[in-house]
Amino acid sequence: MLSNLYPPDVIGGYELGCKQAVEALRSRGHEVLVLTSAPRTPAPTEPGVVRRLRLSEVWNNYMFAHSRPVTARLLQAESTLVNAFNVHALGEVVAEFRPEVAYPWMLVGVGGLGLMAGLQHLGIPWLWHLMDDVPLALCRIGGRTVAPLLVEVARQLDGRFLACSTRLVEEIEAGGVSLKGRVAVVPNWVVGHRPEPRSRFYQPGQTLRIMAAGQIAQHKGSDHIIEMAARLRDRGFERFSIDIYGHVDDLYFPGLTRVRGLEGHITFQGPKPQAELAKLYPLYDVFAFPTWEREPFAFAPLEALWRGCVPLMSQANGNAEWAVHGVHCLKAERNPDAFADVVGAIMDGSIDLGPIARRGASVVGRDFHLDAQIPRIEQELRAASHHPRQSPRGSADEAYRLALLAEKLTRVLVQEAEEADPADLDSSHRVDSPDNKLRMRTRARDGQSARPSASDPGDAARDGSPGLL
Amino acid sequence: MAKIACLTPNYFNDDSYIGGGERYPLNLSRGIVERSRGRHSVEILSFGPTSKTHRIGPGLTIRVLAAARKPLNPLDVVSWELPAALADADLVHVHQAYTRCSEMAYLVAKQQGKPIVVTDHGGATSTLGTSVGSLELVDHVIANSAFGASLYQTSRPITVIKGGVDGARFTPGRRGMTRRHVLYVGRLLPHKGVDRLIKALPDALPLVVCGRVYHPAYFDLLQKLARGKEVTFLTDAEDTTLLELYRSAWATVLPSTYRDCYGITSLWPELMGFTLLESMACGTPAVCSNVGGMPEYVEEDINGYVCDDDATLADRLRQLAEDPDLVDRLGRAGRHRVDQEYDLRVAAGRMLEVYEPLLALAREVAA
Repeated sequence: MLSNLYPPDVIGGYELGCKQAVEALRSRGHEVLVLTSAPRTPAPTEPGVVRRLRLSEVWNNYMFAHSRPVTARLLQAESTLVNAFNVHALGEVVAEFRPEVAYPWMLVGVGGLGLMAGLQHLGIPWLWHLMDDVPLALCRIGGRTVAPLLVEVARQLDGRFLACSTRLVEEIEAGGVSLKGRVAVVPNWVVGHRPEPRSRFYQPGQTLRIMAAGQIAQHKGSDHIIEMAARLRDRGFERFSIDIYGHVDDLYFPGLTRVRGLEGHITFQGPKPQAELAKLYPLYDVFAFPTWEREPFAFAPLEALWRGCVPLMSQANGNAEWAVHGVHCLKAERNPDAFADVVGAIMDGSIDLGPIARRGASVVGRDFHLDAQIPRIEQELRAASHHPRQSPRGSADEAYRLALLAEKLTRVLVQEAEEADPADLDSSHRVDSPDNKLRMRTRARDGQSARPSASDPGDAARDGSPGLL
Repeated sequence: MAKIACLTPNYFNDDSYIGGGERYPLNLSRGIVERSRGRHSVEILSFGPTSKTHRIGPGLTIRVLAAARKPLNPLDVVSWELPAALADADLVHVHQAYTRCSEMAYLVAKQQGKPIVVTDHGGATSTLGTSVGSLELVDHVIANSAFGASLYQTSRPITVIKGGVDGARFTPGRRGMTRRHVLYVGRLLPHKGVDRLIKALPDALPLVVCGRVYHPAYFDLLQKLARGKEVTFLTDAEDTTLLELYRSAWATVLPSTYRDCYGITSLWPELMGFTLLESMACGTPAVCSNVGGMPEYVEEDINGYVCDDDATLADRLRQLAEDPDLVDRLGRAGRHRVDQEYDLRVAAGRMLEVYEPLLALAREVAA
């Protein structure tokens, strides 16, 4: 298993999912070695986990804010393109462990392209588990896609993929990386024992308890939640409360809450670890999830539903493709009015949450539990291990030498590009405009499609709190 | 049919895309197409402001890749189009071993699983590759001379393949034609030692200095040294003019030096001395300094002279200017050597002996 981070050091659900998969595979008798980065804060050693990679911490906003542009650009390039140190570590670990198949996960931060190239050069077949648009993200430097690199990556990637949603597959393929029909869609999952079935559900006249958890950001729809509350209040609904869990990185949201006069309805509860959130879900009736279209598949709504808290989600996102409106969840167009309509319908008794919650919890426990998914993952790992190689197996020395050369060339070219024109990596080949965080937010607020990627710190919960994806 | 991608960093443009420094790769490519009798095609890859393709002849094209930006040194040019350009090649031959361009080519070609052959021509502009032992990434190294081979530091196999001159294009003039000057052909750079030649030039012997100006101060120096002597500078001669210059010379001199008039040391001033071969092909004696790979081509008193000092050089030039039979004898021997060893078709045949096993191995792996 290859992952940029590994619990207890995580960015979000991607890394947690990785650990859950590792444990599930081990419990079924497989020998699994995890190659990940040294943790950002001390973490206990763990058998079968080699923390030998070096992380380029592109998620550290403070460091970015205090870096010269060229330094930031170099860090971004190292994060996505190649880190020779990590390719060396990969070569050593492969030589020691001799895997039958590699199972890469999130690779932003560790020079993911170099690692994938290294795997291919070493002739290690692979199955890449995608819970985000990582192949595209690895072709970006500073949020800008290097189109010719993308073309070459698309041409050379030669393995199999697991993706958490059809939407994600479509997004990656639309972005320029064909998964060539070698992709299986395996949804994200829940783990652990089946919770006590919930027996009490919301009844009209009670206070409707709504929660949201995860990154508090425009693209996650945090502002839609606040505006929805304003609409409800304006329509005369008063008996509702909304608790929002997660780090408040952007004071815009508390500010909007105050401006709308919603302090009595909305509370920012701060981040909570996954285990605590699991205990909180049964205390709420609705999990508000007005996320953006390119949400691959968040864990939290699934975990909430398993515990009887019904997700109210935007119609188009990775989670939405797995659940039916009115049967396992509630869906609405991604705007405050539409969300307020559905919540209003719950509060006036038009929608009965009980049957939805029961059916949803049952389906999650049956079809979305990792125990149900792991045979499929095993099957795909077996298929990947037999995937025919297109080129001869190369040596670890050669892979490292190539990585060194690539790293040095990248550094020189990035620096020269910055010196020649700080705004230009290669203007003739840029497909995205610079989407720094400020611009991204501005576009999102303007109702345009913001596009932070897996490589963008804006896309991941930064608090390290498990379960907040 | 195998496709050979022949990568040369030198800029091509509308005026010079088949001239100057690109001549050797072009000659070799022509020879490979010719010698392989349709079994191989060659695409010469180089760089320019915009993408374009020129068809040179059956099985031979020049494809210009759009440079990512204009580099400080033209040998450091890179293009985003390179991966796509190499993608359908069966073998990649990189000309120049130590440039940004070649480093990028090693990376891309190796990643694509292509066999790589490299020939250095002395244009070292980047040490990024040498710092990681980049030559270990290539499958076979070609040197133009034993001297050139001695400079490589690699465990990879090295083959010396001499020559590559177009003996069909550079041919002797009619018998008995008048010869009337000493000739220098090459870039006007200090390490070429043209200043030494002008200084050594005997009085009353005309000298034609033919080459582009790359170093204006040095060119000024040459012009000063030429005062009072019969020296003509041609800085933009056409190929047809060049041919006539070779044919009408008593000798072509390449007086390159390890230490130039400014005190700058050059470790490999000449790996081959290509213009000497052109001269020999034209039936004109070659005269060189005892530098680099040139003495491996110029055989003393057989097809020319190797001169250790300026006085010897002056004596040899005087001797050649005064003895048409000597010029004729050395010239004929030079032409014979070209036909036997240095013609592009002969060199290409040897190159194919390097290519074929690599191509066969690649086919075997693919199968």
